[in-house]
Amino acid sequence: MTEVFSSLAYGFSVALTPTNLMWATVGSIIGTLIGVLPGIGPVSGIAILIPVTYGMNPASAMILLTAMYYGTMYGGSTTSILVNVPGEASSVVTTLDGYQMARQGRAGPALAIAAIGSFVAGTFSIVGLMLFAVPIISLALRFGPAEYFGLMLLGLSSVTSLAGKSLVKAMLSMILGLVVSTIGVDLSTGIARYTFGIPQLLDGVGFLVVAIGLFAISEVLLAVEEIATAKREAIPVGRVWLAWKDFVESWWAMIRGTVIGFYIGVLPAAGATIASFIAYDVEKRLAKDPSRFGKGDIRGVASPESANNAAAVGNMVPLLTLGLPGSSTTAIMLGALMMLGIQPGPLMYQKNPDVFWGLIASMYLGNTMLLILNLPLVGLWVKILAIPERILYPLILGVSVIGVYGVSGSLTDLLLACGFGLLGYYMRKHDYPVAPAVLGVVLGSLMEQSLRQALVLSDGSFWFLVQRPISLVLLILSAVSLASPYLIAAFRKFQGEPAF
Amino acid sequence: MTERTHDSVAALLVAAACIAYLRGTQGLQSPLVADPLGPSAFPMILGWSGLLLAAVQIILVWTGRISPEDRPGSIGGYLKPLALFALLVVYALVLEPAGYVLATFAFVVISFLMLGEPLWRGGLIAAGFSTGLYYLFVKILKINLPAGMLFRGW
Repeated sequence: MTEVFSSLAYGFSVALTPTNLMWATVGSIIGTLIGVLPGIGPVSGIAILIPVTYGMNPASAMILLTAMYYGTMYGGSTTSILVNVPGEASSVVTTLDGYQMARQGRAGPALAIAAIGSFVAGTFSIVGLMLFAVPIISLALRFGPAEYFGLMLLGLSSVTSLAGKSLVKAMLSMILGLVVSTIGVDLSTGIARYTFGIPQLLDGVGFLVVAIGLFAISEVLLAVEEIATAKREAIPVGRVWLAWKDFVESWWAMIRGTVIGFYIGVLPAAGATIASFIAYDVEKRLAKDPSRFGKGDIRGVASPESANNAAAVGNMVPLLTLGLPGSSTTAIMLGALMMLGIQPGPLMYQKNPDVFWGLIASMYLGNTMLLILNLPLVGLWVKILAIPERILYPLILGVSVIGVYGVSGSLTDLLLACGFGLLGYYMRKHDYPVAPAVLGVVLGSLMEQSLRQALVLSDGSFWFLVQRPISLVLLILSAVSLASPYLIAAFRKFQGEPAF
Repeated sequence: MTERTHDSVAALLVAAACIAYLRGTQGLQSPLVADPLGPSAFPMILGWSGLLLAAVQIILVWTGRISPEDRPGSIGGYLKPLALFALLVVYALVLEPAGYVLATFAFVVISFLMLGEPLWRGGLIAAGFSTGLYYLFVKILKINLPAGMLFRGW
């Protein structure tokens, strides 16, 4: 234990140099900006920054890149809350309550709790990384395809929390997402599915295209209709600052989100997005008054925002302990590290302690810096809501186009996004929630591949699902999760209380 | 049309889409012996589930178990969004030949006009916005945006 503290002190000595502090700040600012822009994500951000890192020493380079990564987790929630456009996959869930809060005039508290939740999650997760990396990774290594399938099912079962009034519609939306995830080349067999002979579809339809279409474009179309028919409610001017009561209410949501996010983040391939959905689901189930979720409950913002930051830290665990990238972001980081001559993995601890501990120390710093940076910005962001919507929305579309086209350069993607926009508009007019569709797109391929791999490993027998302990636990949790609204309602009726 | 009809129509469209999706699985054969599910299994599960849910939805609406949202739709309401959508598609199509700056400027100005913003102010905002963003992304962040035929070589 003392060794950890002395190593950490060494790390701080590396991180607290003026140069590295500057890089941490630069990374945080760029990361926040990139997070705010819909469509440009941490992967693009790292790709942009890599040329900057040529010639830098490895510790400084990693400090810059990780500061940017966490910055994007902070920034992604901003557009989710203000205009219902998720900046990142991991900010989709934040739109559910965050946007409602903004429309009720509480954008300030929403943005503030997102920043604070991210900070709390980041700090505690870094402690987790420092102290528990090894035991956690050994548990994570026991996750095979069967367990991943169970985890994906658990993620999908969170659809019940996203359902609003109609579970059937939410599930149909989720099926839409799953259907979209089947488009493209099937990874196991190499056969193209649902590509209609269009070569650009061979890679499948990316989450981003779906999210920008279903959220951003449909939001604008819907707003335009409501403005035209004079049904748009004006946003009341509300508090900018967070009330102490709000903070206290969100505290446990933040802690739970952190724990869930961190562990799911450690699992390779499962990331911040799944973590945010599951954390939201858990929070809603544990709440005494779940009906407030989806209508502007602050815990609905605190929980996923904590989860996604914790997952970002968790993502670093397999990278640093085993040299295994768990996501595309960490894969690029791995590339950057190797270019700088560092081989992440079990030996990094011994061969490059300055990089390892300097990195951990800088994570604390970066987190703090992001909080200091973002809290004052809340006032500024809230002013954006004062821009008349007829000006704001076309501009949002202009930025979204960059998000979709700028990174892929694909006109097909852009047209697909437009198509999803129209679909999203239709869906929302008929009360089909769009968040489950995004959930389906994100989870679909991993779920299908896991199931098929597991079947290959078990020689075609489905019993593996219940024979392996972790898989069984996850399946039971999923079943409970799906059934629980009905169980709870039945239980309450039995007790003579109203069902909701 | 009542909201109940709207809901049923939506559910029927979903059912039709599921049937089309299921038909798409017919061409998929798995050559591998070791992969018992094959590429068609998951789509079939999804297609049938979707069909089932759409049927459930229609039944629920018509037996009154769900009270549809009270959202009177007016025909006039659809025109503006659809017009904006058409404009968006045109914007996407001209993006490459005309370049980001011009295409965005045109799109933003026309949208402003559609939404009732005065031309002179809209034009100024659009010009500032498109050039500003282009500069930010291409020069500072080095993300490629189409320069278009006028600005090639910039």
